[in-house]
Amino acid sequence: MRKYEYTERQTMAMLGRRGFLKVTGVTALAIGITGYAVVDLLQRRTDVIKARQRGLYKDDKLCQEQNLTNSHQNPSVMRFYADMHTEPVEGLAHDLLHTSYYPRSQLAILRGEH
Amino acid sequence: MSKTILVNTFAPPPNAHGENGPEYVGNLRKGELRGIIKINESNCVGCDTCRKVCPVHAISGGLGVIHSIREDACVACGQCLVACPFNAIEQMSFVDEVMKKLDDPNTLVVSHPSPAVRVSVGEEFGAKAGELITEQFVNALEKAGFVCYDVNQTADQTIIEEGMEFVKKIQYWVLGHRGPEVAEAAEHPFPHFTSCCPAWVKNCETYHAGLLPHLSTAKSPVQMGGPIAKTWAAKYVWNKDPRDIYMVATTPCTAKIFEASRPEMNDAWKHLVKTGAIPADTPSFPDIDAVVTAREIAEIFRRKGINPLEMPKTRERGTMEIYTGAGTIFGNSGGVMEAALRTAYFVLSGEELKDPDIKIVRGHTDAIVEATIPVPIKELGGKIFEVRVCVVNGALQGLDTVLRRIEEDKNRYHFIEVMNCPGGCVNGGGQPVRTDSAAWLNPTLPIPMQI
Repeated sequence: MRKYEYTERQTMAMLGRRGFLKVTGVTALAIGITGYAVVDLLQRRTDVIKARQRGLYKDDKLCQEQNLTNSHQNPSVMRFYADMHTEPVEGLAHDLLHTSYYPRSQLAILRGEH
Repeated sequence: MSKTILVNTFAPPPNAHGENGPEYVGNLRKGELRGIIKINESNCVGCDTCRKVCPVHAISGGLGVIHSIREDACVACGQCLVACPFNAIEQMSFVDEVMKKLDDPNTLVVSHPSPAVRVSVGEEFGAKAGELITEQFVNALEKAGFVCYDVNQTADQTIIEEGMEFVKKIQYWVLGHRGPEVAEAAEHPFPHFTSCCPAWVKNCETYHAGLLPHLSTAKSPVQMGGPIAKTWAAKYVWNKDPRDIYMVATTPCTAKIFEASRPEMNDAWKHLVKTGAIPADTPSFPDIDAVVTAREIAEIFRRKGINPLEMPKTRERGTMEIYTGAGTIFGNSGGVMEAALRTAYFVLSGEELKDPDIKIVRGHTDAIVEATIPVPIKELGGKIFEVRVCVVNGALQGLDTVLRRIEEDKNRYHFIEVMNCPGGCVNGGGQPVRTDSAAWLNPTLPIPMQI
């Protein structure tokens, strides 16, 4: 009569059932913790942005309390136009405060060098 | 406790302006700074983070490969720099030049601080994120030897200019006005794009040249400050020779370094020569002489032994420091839009907005914001005109989608604000880099514990 003999397969010899559980468990835990930390930090990155945005909206409210809400209520800005005898988007204001743009992708082509 | 990280900088190398080369190299003109943002090859480990945050895909490389930036493509926004976990990306710095000017008694060194700096610079000295320290900051600037000319004020100026430009476009294209006052609007159809963000401007010039007629011709607030300081303020406020004024833009932005080097940004010099205020043979000087970031103004304070958080919290605002709420929200995504709408509403309807907080256009952390703003038009007897607006909050996150929507439907929007950096200038490439934000692997590897 043949006797039943239990032998582990080659891989099982290297890593038994308990060993396998141990390794998968630790790996899963490590991935979980790191993943959480990374997600948490990316979340916190927007927290920094939100905090700075809140700071500027707070500044807006402080200005509004002094009746400085809209740009045309800024006395210094209006004084510029009065002192320089100019109007928005016209004449001197246009010369000093407006600009033009360059189609960069075409700079080389437009200058005749290929 | 979170800390800020010291970002490595380098002084501009020879030929940084292309001054020894031909009229243009690639798509950069003579005079324009090149290599503002640089990857340090010995520090780059090839983690590939920078390539994924670049709005114009200007970074070459892959996992495990040393990355490099292609100069022609780069818009110098610095998002890669603040995102790099290994502090391997460096920035061109003009701090030494500014320190020298501060020691020169004949020069009026003007600091021109942007809105988003007042809520971030405190972080370099241990303040909470987003702590508003306007008064302490300006007092510190003064102690360091600067005179303050607030960019918030030029932001108001930008709104007057860009807001009126937008109103003229409505008058020409919607209300049917004709005549010399609205003639320029004929060449600039809707949709109207903002031009405050220098990274977006270079992006548009390089990749979307067909949209250039839609871009507002108004300069950015920082660039408006240069000519105003050297013409109006020099004469009426400071009583100083414009040649002795040294403008230092103090920004949350690295793209401003590029913008200041654009050769056409010398309108103050052109005007002064034309009017004979300075001799005709005066060599050309730029409107903005130097740009320092929020990180670098903190470095200047440290070198001078000044801690802004220890400065007095009160201050009488001078002529050049007065600003409105509309000016200060420029630093947030959606802020330019909100500020412009406040003034455009007033001009078009003849009355102030009852509730100035147009919260519907605020970007916060959404990539794209769309809204419709009803404006009663005075000359049509109060008939409601619906202004359709869009805010792009981060060029990488929202720009392609919005541009595709415009291609599909040209009449979809009247007014589009584009901010290159997600969140707006508050998250700019020149802002303090923190251990608890993007730089999450530095300095504690592998798991960030320093929080």
